Amino acid sequence: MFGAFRQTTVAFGGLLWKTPYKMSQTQKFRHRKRLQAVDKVIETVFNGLKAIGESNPKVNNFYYNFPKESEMTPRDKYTVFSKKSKGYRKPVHKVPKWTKLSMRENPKYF
Amino acid sequence: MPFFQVQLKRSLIGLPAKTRLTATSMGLTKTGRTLNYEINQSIAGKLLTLKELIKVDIVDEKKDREGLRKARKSDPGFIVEKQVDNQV
Repeated sequence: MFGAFRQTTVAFGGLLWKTPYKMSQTQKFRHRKRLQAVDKVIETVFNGLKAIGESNPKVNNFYYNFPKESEMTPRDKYTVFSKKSKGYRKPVHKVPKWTKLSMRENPKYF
Repeated sequence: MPFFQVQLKRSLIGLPAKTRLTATSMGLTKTGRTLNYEINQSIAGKLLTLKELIKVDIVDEKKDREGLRKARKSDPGFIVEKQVDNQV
């Protein structure tokens, strides 16, 4: 059978997750590179404004208060807060669009 | 005077409308597109909205798209001294 009613493991077996529960070494490596790229963008934007003698509260906040990749713990880099997960953490690669999001800060008390 | 040189590195597909509109309003419509911008607070805020998607450099000269394309071209390894119109 084809189309919407084709016989697949997912259709017949119910819930089937294909996402591994933990990230591979290369996934973590590429994730770190992306975090570093974001750090560099923030730094360059801050330096650009500084070069023309201006400053902006939003840019300053990102430059001074946003956690940098080098300052983050592995726990914060590779897992994120999740209220539904055991231990209130889940692997960052389970978040939809996770490669295009910045999820560096935890809620208060977590 | 310094300028921002911005390249859109990641695709806008599947992103929130606000992010996509920010990018397209700046002329960053396709991945790989490089553009120069004057440095001001408005542009800086927009770049931070797109921080996961772009690469930013500071350059001394502002170039249009044609100029940026010429700057990217590699050295052909020869110089054309004289051109003859060979069209029959």
